[in-house]
Amino acid sequence: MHWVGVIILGYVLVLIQTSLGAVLTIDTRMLGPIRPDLVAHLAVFLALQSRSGVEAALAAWGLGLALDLTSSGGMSDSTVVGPMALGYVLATAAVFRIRDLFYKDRPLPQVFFAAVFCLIAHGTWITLQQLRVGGDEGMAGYGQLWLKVVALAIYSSALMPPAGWLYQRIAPVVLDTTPSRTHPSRKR
Amino acid sequence: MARSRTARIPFLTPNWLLAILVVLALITTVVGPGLARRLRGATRWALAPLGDAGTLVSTAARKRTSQIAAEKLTPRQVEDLRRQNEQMRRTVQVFARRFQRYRRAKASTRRLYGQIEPLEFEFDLVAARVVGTGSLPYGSTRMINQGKAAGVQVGARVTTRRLLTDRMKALRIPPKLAALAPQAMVGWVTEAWALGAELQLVTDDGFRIAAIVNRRVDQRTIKVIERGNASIQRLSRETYEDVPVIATGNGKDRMIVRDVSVDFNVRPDDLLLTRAESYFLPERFPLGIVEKVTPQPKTPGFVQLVVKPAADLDALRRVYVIVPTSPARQEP
Repeated sequence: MHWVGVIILGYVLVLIQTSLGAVLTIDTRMLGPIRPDLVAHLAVFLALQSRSGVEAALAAWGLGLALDLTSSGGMSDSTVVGPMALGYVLATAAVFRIRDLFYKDRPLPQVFFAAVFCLIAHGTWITLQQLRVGGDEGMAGYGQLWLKVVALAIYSSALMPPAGWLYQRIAPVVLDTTPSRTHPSRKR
Repeated sequence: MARSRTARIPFLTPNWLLAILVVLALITTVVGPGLARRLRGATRWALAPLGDAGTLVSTAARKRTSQIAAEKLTPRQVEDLRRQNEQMRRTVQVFARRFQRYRRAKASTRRLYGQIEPLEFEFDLVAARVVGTGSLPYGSTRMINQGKAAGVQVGARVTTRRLLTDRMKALRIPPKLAALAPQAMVGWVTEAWALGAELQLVTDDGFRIAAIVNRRVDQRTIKVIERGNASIQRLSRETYEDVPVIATGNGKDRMIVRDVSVDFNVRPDDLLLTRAESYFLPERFPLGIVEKVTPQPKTPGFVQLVVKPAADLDALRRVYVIVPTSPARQEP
């Protein structure tokens, strides 16, 4: 993995999400504003295309931490840092394990992988934040937050095919695309 | 290259590195928001300068879409607005003259009693721009470009100016109408670092403020509608007092006030204002307008208020942080 490329691309995505992201916001009466997780697209792409699961998880940890550091509020006066980093690592591990079940370069499987990723990552985030806040009133809003996570996962996954197409074009910036060497035991 | 470097340190393999980072994330999760504030303060500076341009574009787009969705005014409404503007302009002139007299009186009073204690709330207004929003959609927060270096401190209230002319441009209203500029509270500062601060909006799930409901009704009569049966009740001295309440954000686009006694007869269009006891904003300041009053099934005799924020939070761009310069007092 090309770490400099991952860091720069991650920074740009966080910047877009925190400034231009409002343009992509859908206001719903029931759930409030719903925005796609653009950073998740990069994490899903890395989980699908990276040769090493550990490297993909390391990149996911950094991207999740960037989201943690650029968001607060929502459950109390200030949310904690760390849950999204953990959520991204868990979601990357899950996607990495199931990526060979489907043709990962096709749009529909990519939509599925992005939805799974967002559900796990954001589900982990709201669960850990909710556990920290606690209280009966907080738990009453937990179901509502899950509905928001589902809506976010649907919205984000719908945008995954164009994002995946874009990342395929710039894959050499973030991934080592040189042909892999054949394992010595397979050389004939 | 990286692999060969890590290979020299047997302990620091990618697997171990990942394990250490996961443990670190767990620790920061458990430690709590105090550490989170410090970490955010140490890193947010990287986003503010470049986020400004993007926020300008997104704010303009949001403002544009809200204008398209707005209803067009009829010529009669335009005429009414014009008349109201004229009345307000005259009122402003009257108050400006009174204010001048008041300032002169205050200056002479201060010469006499200035050594004893401050006579009124003194504050600085720090103008700031919204340069970003939270990266996750679960909170209603904004990042502003003024921080501790400009005197912004945690807990400071933040207001905006609501200019009706912004909306009128899209509605093709004749020019030269006076601009109404009431200020409305939009939130408060929850985190502040040297060159920026985090602003929690009044609609955020974690927002909570002591407020009052100021009932804007005819002082002589009030119409109470209960399940379709309308009845007229006369207001008394007891029922026309301001109603002390606790207002919270609903995590979407409104504020919620719970457990308000039906005896107070709070109705839509009543005002939600800040309380005058707060150190950071010891004035009655508009928070929002009561939009809906619904009964609370579990607690008969009490109602819940849905309050629409007075400020347009979707297209928030310029804000003013109120920095008290008076000696600190205890928050109620």
